[in-house]
Amino acid sequence: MRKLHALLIGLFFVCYALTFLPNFGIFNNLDFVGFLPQSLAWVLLLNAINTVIIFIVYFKFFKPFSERASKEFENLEEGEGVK
Amino acid sequence: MSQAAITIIVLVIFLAILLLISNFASKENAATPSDFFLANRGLGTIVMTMTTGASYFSTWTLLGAIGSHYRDGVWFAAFAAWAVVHALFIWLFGSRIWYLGRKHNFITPGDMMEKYFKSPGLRLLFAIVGIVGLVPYMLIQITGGAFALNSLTDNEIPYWVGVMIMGAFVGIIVTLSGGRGAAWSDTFMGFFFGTVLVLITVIFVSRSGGFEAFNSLQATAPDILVNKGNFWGIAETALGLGFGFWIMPHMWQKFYSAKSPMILAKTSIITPFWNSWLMALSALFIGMLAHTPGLVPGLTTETSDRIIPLFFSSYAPLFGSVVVAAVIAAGISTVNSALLSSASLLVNDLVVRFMKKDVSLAKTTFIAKATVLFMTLLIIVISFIPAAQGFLVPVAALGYGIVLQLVPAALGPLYWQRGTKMGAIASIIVGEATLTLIYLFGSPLPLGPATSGLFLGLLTFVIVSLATQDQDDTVKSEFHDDLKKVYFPESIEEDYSIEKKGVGPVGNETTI
Repeated sequence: MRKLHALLIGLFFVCYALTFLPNFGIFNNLDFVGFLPQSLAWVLLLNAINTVIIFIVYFKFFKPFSERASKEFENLEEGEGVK
Repeated sequence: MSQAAITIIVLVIFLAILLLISNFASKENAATPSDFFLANRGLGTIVMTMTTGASYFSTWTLLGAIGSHYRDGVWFAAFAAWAVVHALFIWLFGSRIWYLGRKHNFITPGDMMEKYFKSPGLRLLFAIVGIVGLVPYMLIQITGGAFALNSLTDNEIPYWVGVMIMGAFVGIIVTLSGGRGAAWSDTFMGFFFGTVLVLITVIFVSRSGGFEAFNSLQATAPDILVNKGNFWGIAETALGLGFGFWIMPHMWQKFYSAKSPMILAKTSIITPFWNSWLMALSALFIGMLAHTPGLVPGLTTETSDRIIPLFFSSYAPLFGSVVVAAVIAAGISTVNSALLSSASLLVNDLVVRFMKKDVSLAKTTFIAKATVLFMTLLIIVISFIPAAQGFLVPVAALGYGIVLQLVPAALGPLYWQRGTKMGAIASIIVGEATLTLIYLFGSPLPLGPATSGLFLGLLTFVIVSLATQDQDDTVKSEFHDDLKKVYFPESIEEDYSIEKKGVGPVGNETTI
């Protein structure tokens, strides 16, 4: 599970790093992809991928963590009480 | 009726709505710091999403980011990218801040630092840096709102009157309502300026030729359709405004305020849509399409931070008043959280911790309210200094850059158990010293002041931590064991089975 987590987080930051390619002249021509300038279309494509990753992280990690943490605090409150 | 009169009437109605919300919210207030500053750790999903978004987005978005897109075009599209990173930061940092905050009843970032590193000095450093970093950020909300009023009314409402109006709005609302009122009014203001921003975007796109809007710019402004390079320039802003989403004290405390981790989880999946796809992209469309000939009369590079008020002063003054109210909403929704946060740092981390330990809870809340008023006054005074009236994004980035230097030390309790007290203190000193020196004297390297400070601070944190040892690691172990158990319970079992096989104890230096 930790490996998958590291992989997803790694993939997310690779995609984020790739949004800077136009700063180095890559995907930075005065061309259009649909109605968007090329470099903007590139950034938005990577943003879309990263948005999907956020959802995967939510279902795989964030939601289960939330359930565990909530349970932990419920148990604490029922028992000795929260510090 | 003059534009100024219409604008003032709209603002009075707007203030009345905000006061109603704040008054309603304050009925539930209890005289405790946790209630006044953190809404008693009870914020739900909608309020949490709106208050984190509204506290982060401000006049720098509705005015500054639009101006930056006008001046720099797609180069500033990095804003849309780092706004998606915010969602991941809620998971990577926000959830840990919430968990530790809930477990140990922390109110400020300094609470966590002192307990973890056993260092009152670190609490002090976090408080001072936090307050100093919040000042430029609060400042642009006041100056931005005042400039918007001035532009819309064609100088009928002078800058100084705008500053006073903004100051009065903010001071009254925050003093009355505290954290809960701020969060509730943030929700109203967030919806308000979000809706207005979408409306303006639709108006700009349709007036610029719809789907052909960007294509048409090839003839008039081809430069803004390609990225101008300057990687280190945008990296400086992206680092500050990206990490600022969790390291700025007012944002950090938002994470403490969530009712449950599920609220944060839900906030994380709404954030890309709200922060990036809506806010950042709207700013991009409006800023870039403002180059369409004749769309915004009288627009120059110097006035590019005032595109929206300029546009409406020419075409629809009445709606323009509503739009300026939205700009002011964006400013107030940020400055209220920032004011509350700086008050909590001053009261909790300085006054109560070091001067008046036996002060009552009610007295603490009273001091906090007095601090809010004092800070409002201070910001108003600073806003009359000419240097404070520059472009909004660079001033905001300065505030974020100052607080960015706290990141290495914050990684200790959140991730890196090997980090030591000396490493944390040294990293902040080196980071801030580097930022100051490069800001004042420049650097032979292309890296900006905040980026240089962060790199050197990180390096210092690692080196000094590896070279030193904290005397008592009990609390540190407790923090990281708890985090490991709740984040990756299966890894505890794996570690245990490896230990049993005789490989030896498994270190838990990082909890990634």
